[in-house]
Amino acid sequence: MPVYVLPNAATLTKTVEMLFGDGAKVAPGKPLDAKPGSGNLIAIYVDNADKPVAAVLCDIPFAANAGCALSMLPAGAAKDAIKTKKLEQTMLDNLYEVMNIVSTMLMDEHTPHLKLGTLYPDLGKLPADAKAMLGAAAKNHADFMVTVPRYGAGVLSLLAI
Amino acid sequence: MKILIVDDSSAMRMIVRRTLREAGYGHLEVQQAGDGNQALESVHKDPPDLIFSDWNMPNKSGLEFLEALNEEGYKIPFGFVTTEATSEMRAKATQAGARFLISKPFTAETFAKTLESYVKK
Repeated sequence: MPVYVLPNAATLTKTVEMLFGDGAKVAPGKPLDAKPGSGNLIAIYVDNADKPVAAVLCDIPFAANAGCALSMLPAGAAKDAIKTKKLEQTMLDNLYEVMNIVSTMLMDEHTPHLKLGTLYPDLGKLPADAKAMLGAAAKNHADFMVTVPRYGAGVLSLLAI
Repeated sequence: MKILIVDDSSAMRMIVRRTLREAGYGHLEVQQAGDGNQALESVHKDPPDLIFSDWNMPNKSGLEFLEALNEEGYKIPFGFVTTEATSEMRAKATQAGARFLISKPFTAETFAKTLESYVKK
């Protein structure tokens, strides 16, 4: 039985509406690849003993759109980042905030506490314990296509042990 | 009427401001601080009428900020807006004198309901 919880589309919608305002949409999505070279980004969540227990993967479109929308950077900046596959530091800082808030959706009153540990823009730099956790959590995932109003859509995959 | 928003994330402070506008409190004068130390300094200079504070922040946490206000005798209505809202944290917040604890994700309705007893629209 999984230790942590995963959100459904309705729960995630509340969070993305808080973050990005009205018009945010959430629909089922495809699981994201966690292999180095996939271009995806990953946030690793840790328990109170700093052990990795959950992860949230996102693709570059989600990272760019969410990263720009949070501080209202121009939509063109998100498009450029998607095209070049390079995210500015502000976008990464904002994505970190998004991932921090996502942590609330992995817990409820019955689960142990977890918190955002590290956001890895490069999956190749993932430490061994986080890789091992991804293996353990492979079957417990929820995948969504998230539309950030006025920016665009991207994929978010949540995994937890 | 002045409200002090304390959060180490500038993006989160912006979201709180936007949500205040959506809740019908766009007329409030807003002060901002990035941690408990900055917030305490802000209170010393120009005390607000209401404080919204994050819990986890560098240098001085939201709880430490509230405790510092208590020690200095301030009686400003204080509430937490935080990602983590365990029953243990709620108990600590109440014990320290926090009037409310809003957990993220929040909505404009949550803000409106919470603020109606402290602020006139």
